[in-house]
Amino acid sequence: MINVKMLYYPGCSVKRNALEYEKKTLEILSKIGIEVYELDNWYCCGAFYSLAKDDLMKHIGGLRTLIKAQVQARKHGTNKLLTLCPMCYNVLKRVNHMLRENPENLDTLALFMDEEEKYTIGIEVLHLLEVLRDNIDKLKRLVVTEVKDVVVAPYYGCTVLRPREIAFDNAENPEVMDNILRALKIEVIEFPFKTECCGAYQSVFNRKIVFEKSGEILEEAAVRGANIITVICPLCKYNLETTLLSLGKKLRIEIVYLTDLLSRATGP
Amino acid sequence: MSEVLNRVVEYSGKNPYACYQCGTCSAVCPMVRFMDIPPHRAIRLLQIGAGAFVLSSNTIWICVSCMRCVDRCPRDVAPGVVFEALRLITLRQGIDKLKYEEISNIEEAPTLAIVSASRKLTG
Repeated sequence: MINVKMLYYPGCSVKRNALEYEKKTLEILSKIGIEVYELDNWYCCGAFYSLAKDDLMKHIGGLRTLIKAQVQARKHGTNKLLTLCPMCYNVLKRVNHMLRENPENLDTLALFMDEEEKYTIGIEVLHLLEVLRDNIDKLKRLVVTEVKDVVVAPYYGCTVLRPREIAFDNAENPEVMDNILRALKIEVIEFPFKTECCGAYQSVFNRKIVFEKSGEILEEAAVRGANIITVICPLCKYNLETTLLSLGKKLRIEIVYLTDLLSRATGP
Repeated sequence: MSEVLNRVVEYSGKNPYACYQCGTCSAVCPMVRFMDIPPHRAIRLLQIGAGAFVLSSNTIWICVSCMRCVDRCPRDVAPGVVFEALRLITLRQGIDKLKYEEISNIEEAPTLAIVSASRKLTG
């Protein structure tokens, strides 16, 4: 099997709150022939893309990460940068896109940096879902057990699908995750709340909003007969899980990372 | 043009006067029910020089920049981007909305919740 090489940017939450997500994901990627190289000394991407037009400084976290990837791209011979966290994906891809559209911004941003080399806008930012989608045939061959008694509501969140210039699937009705699960013979429901907002960072500001928004997602999934919600984001998972806890034992539903469920089908 | 509107244009690069009040933003907003003023009305208030009223509403702090209204706005007014500019008018005066000592779940919440809230709610 020809191995594909990829650089990997984990980001803060994967390393602090979602180590299992990372472990299971890297196992699956290695099984489908993807060699992953974690960036050395990576730092914060910024978590949320700044929308202010007059303040480019807020993009420095993202740009520095991309430059770091560029340096290590030469060493490993690949320009692909893999992310697991959709927020990292969103920020890095938008910074990349912004620089491609407005290369003059690169000169302004270079004024803030002394040590780094010039960025040539050559890094391709990828999210895990895209990689799994492109390797769906290899994934199918890995299936060793049929995952039984599981009915899944796939939940995408918002940052891999919006804004449209960085989306890799239809923001109204994404099907990437549905198709991956179906390919592994896992039962998937039609889930109209698959891109509904979980409440995002309001969990540290106005938690009532999160409980209400995430509560609706959970209830809709339960009403439609799902017993598992698959997620790809540490924040979605936290919001859905804390909401589930706040509801007591009312709903029989489990929140799991997509790759956790995939590894149940593909074995240890 | 009012002072608030000037700043909005400067910070966001968007033109609130292009809005023709179709209401798409308020229809697609996942947070609209928690807001004092729905997005389309906030834009209308900016047009008539009542920006200060929008600044004092909770609307701009409830918005989590999910980009739904931005993707769908037929006039590229992009309320989600305008709201960032409105937040910055307050934040750039050194007034923070998020008080770290009031976050009860700061230990258990994922790091990215705290970083992103800091990005949106502090200067």
